[in-house]
Amino acid sequence: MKYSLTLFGTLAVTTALISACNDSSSSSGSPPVVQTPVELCDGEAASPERLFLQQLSHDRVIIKWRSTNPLTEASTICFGTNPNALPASSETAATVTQTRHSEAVLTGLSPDTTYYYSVGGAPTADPKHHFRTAPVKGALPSDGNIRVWIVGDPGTSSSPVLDSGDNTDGQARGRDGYRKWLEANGGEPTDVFLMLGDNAYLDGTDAQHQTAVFEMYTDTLATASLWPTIGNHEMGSSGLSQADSVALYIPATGLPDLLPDSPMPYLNIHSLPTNGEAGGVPSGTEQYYSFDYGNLHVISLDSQVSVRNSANLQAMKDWLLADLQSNTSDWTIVIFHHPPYTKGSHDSDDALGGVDQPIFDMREQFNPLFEQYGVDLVYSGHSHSYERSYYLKNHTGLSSSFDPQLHTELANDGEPANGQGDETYWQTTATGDDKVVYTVAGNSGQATGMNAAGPHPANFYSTGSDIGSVVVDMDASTLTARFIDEHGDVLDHFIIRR
Amino acid sequence: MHILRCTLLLTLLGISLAQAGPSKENLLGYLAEQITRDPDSTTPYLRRAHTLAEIGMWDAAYSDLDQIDKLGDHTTAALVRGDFLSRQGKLAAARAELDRAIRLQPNNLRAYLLRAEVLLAQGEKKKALADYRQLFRLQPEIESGFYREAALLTEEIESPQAALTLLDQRMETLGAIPQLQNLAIAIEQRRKNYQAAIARLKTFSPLMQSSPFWHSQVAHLELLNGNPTSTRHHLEIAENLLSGRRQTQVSRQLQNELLALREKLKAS
Repeated sequence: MKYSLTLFGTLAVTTALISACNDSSSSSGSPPVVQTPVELCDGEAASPERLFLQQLSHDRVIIKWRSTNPLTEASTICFGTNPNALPASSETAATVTQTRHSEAVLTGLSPDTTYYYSVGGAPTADPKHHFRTAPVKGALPSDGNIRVWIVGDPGTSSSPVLDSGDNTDGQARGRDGYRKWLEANGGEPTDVFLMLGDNAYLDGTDAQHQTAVFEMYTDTLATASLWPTIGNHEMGSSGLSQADSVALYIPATGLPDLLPDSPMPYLNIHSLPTNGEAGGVPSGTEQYYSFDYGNLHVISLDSQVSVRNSANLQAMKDWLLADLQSNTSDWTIVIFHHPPYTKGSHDSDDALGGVDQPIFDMREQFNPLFEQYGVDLVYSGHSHSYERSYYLKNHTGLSSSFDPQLHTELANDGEPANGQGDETYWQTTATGDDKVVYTVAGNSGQATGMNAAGPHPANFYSTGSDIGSVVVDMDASTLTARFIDEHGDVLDHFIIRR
Repeated sequence: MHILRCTLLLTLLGISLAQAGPSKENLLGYLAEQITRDPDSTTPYLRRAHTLAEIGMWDAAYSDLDQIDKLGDHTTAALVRGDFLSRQGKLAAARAELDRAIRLQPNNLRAYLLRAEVLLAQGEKKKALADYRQLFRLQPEIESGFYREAALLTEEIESPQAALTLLDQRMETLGAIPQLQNLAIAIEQRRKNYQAAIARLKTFSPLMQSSPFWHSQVAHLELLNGNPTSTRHHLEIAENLLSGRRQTQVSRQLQNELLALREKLKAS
């Protein structure tokens, strides 16, 4: 039996009807509105230990969950715009994946609209379970701002080796710093949640993802879509894998996930777009992809696996070119794990040919494309530091070859502009849209110091001693990026106007 | 002599660890503890072998692989030894180890993948292609770059048509993605089958087809195909789309290319 909206229904139903009656009574003089009973969902709310949103776009979203006990796993979801009356017509069955994730694809949604949902299909929604769809491509959300939260190398809470000493509880401290900043600055929620890799130490196992991702960012994951990229620790082998295929994933303990799934938990946990489901050119792989959120285009590249094989590197490059050529968004952000310019726990001048080879490949083969095709921001992790560059172009060599006069946007005093105050960057300058700000933000779980040879001369701001995360806000004409430390303080910021 | 060798090894280890940073030092300590606690498990040996290989301590890494052999996991030992030898450029030895891994476990896709790369580096293209084919049978979902590699080998060793068949088979599942379809278009162009190349371009997503770069490419191919009307049509669309875009290095470059194409069109 289903609940329905009649005068003789349940308390929740009565509330919904009263609300509906109040709405109709406001139009005095109009003929009385005949209420059509709306059948409500009648399932029981479930509280899965793992709940997250994927591929949120202007008209669809995937809600994914998994409970510890498969026998009591919820199999449906209900959703609607009124949290107190989720209509039965919204009930959507989930499919169950090989790794026992339940996945409900909600389609036909309206853009820029808040929806509430109930895993298990109850008639009302848990207040924490809601999301707002993206605006249509090119538009801004009704609040006028898109907010992107970025965490890099956050997953320390799942590793006793890393969650120790000065970095004890580092991941929670980094997360809470962002929360403190939000509370002090109007509380506008996150629209887009980006993870820069090394999301679950040491080997990216399913259990480590549970601790470091799902139990750490529970509230954000229930309300904003998660868009990750692959770090070296997502490939197992304690982060030392130089394998050039995800088929070579080696877990620390136990067996890889079984065929036909990928052996790699990252790919089985996430449902990332392969066919342009959320905008962007179809990539045919979850290893790299892109999506639109209003006037923002985000590209997630795979610097850990695809780049280690020349044919796969060329394949990803071919796709990237097609995606950038098709991109007309106001703002473009690219994420991948290995940073082109760093003197943190990794050095972008060292280790050519080893586990850090992708640092060189990304800088030499991909940075020119970013600059040629109007990318605005690039975010990476890997080094457990925050290092933010000037507005750069044409530098693909070692730090010794960096010349600020040649490679940066200069301020009126002839020095590199820092992006702040009267040195704010402009997307299009006299030479066109050809500069990019590169940021290392791999300090969302640990801060492990700067290299003795640092800082890198391409970077305006570098710290190896602060844990934190990045928030990027943008409207039609202004983009502001901030580094927020664990206390909720802004330690660095820059602005790009267009 | 033994003491001297150990001292040298420890000194080298110290230098390597200092270069590699403190996290690997912690990791090696942690793995040594795990090995002491559970000496019959192959996992900590395997992890330590990878860690040691990363910092160039090859002898110690191989010694851990020997231990894995002794514990009975011969396939893993052979596989990882093959990987390490390949990384060191010792291709013949790597191939022997990977042959052994495949003998022990004929459906080990990792071994085929690694051996295909070794064979390719040795110039054994036919054998590499055979391994890629075995790989695709075992794991059709493998990264598309490997299909590209195999298609190029197929084009060279067998025929362009066979290469296109391989790419099309993969695209039946994936759809027309640039990583594979662009190569197919290039193969069609190489054999001057411009009509087929244009048909392939038209399989791309509507988003790609709304780009001035796509229209420019179609226009170029239409000209090669002797179709000036269609060339002009796509050229004009490309110019219109480009005029609405903000200035980037490549948009200026495309503008010049379109101007050159217009000149060619006039002359044709």
